Amino acid sequence: MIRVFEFAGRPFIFVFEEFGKITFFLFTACAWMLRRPFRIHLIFKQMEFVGVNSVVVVLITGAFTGMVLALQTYYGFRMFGGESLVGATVALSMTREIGPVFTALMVTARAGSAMAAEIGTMRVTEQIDALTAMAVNPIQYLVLPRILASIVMLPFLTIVSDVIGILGGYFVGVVLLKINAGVFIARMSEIVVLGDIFNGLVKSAVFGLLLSVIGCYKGYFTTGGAEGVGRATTQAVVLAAVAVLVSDYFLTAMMFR
Amino acid sequence: MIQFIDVSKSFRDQKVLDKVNLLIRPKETTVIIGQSGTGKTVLLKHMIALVRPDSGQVLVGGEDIGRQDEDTLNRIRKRFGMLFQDAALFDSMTVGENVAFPLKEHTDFSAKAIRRIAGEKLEQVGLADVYEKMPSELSGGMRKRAGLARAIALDPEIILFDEPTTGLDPIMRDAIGDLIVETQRRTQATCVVISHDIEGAFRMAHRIAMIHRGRIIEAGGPEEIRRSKNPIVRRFVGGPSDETPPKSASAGASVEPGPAAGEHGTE
Repeated sequence: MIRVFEFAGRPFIFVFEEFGKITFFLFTACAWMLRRPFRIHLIFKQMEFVGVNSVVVVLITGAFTGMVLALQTYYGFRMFGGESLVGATVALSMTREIGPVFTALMVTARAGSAMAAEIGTMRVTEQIDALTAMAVNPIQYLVLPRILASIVMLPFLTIVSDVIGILGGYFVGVVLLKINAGVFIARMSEIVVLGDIFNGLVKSAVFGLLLSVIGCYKGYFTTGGAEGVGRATTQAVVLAAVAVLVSDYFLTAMMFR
Repeated sequence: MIQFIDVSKSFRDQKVLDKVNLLIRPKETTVIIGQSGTGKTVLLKHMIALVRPDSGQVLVGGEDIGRQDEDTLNRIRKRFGMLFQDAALFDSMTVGENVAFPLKEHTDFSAKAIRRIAGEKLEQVGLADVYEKMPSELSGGMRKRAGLARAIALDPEIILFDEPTTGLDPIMRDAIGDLIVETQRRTQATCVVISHDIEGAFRMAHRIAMIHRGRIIEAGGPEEIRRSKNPIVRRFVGGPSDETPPKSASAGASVEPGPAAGEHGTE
C-alpha cells in the first residue's frame, strides 16, 4: 500500500522539488543583481537577441493570429448581426490574452530554447567552470542578463504583436469582409480600455521572467554531454510553455475581475 | 603551496577521493598521474574550489578554500590559471577575446593594452596569427595552446593543467609538454598537471604523485617514482612488476597515507 502512495506521490515530489530549485536559482540571480560589476553591455546584447531578433517571428504570428481571429469572430457574430463587434473582440483578445501568450510562446521556442542549449553546452564543455575558475560568477555573467533582458523585451514584443494583430484583424474585417471601418474602430476604442493593454504587458513581463529563468536553469544544470543538452532544451521549452499557460490563468484571474 | 589534508569526496554513492593527503610545492611542476576515472580531475578541481570536499581541507597559501565566501574565493582564484581538458574556450568569442577575457574582467588596462598583452600571450604559446579566429576554426593542439595563453593572461602564481596532452598526436603531445616546461621555467609558477601520459609526466615533472582509486599511493621525484616498489605504480610507469597487485587492490592497502598531512606530499 505504501508503495502505491510512493509511486503516486513521486511526480508531485518532483514538481515541488523543481519548483523549489528554480525559485532558489531565481533568488540567487536576484542577489547578484545588486553586486558589481553591472554588466550593462551584456544586458543590451541579450535584449537584442531576445527582443530585436524575435520581432520578425512575432510580426508574422501576431498578424496571422489577428487575421484568423477576425475571420472566426466574423462568422460567429454574423449569425446574430454582431459584425460591428469584430474589431473590439480582436483588440480585446490580442491585448489581454493572445498578444502576451503567443509572444511568450514564440520567444520560448526561439530564445528560451537557445538559452538552455547555449548555457547547457557551456556547462558540458566546462566553459562555465572556466568562468568560475577565472573568478567570474557564471550566474551574474550568463543568467542575470538573460533574465533582465527577457523581462524588459517581452512587453515590447507584446506591443508589436498587439498592434500587428489588430492591423491584421482590420485588414480581414474591413478590407476583405467589408465591415465599416468607422464602426470597426469606434467599437474597438469604446470597449478596449488602457487597463486591458497595461495588464497584458504586465503579464508578458512575468512570462519573460518565467521563460528565461526556466531556460537558464535547465541549461545551467545540464549533465550528460550532447544528449543532455538536447534533453535540457526540450525540457526547458515544455516547462516554460506550461508555466506560461498556467501562470496566465492565475494572472488573468487576479487582474481582470 | 597547496595542501590537501584528509580530503574525501563522493558523488552520490561513489567515493572519488578517499582521505587524500598531498602537498604541492611552490614554483615546481607536480604531475599527478593515474588511470582514467581514478579522481585526478576531481582532485585538480578541488584546488580552485570548482569542487568542494565533503570532509578534509584544501589549503592554498594557508587558506582553506573549501570554506571561503565568494569574494575571498574569487580573490584566491585570481592567483590561478587553468587549462581545461578541451581548453573550454568561449565559443562566442574570438581566440583573442578569450585570452583578453581575464584581463578585461580583472584589470583596469586600456582596451589597447589588453589587446597587446593578449597578443603577446598568444605569441608566447606559438599562436601569433589567430587573434581574430573563432575557437571552432582551431585544431585540438591550437585550442590547447590558446587555452594556455588564456590561463597565463594574468601571470598567475599557480597554473593547473587538466589532461593537457590527451587526444593529441605524439608530435603535438610533445610540443604541448615542452610548452608547459617552458612556461613554468619562464614564469616560475607552481604548475599542477593531471595526466595519464607517463612519458610526458617524467619530462615535465619536478615531482610526481600517483592517484589510484581516490588515494595518493605514491609521491616523490621522477626517479623515486621510477624506482617505486609499489606494484601498481610499477605497472603504471611501465617498469618491471615484481608482483601482481591483488585483485581488490585498494591503493590504501599498499601505501597507507597515514594521518599526518603531507605524508604523501611531494616534499
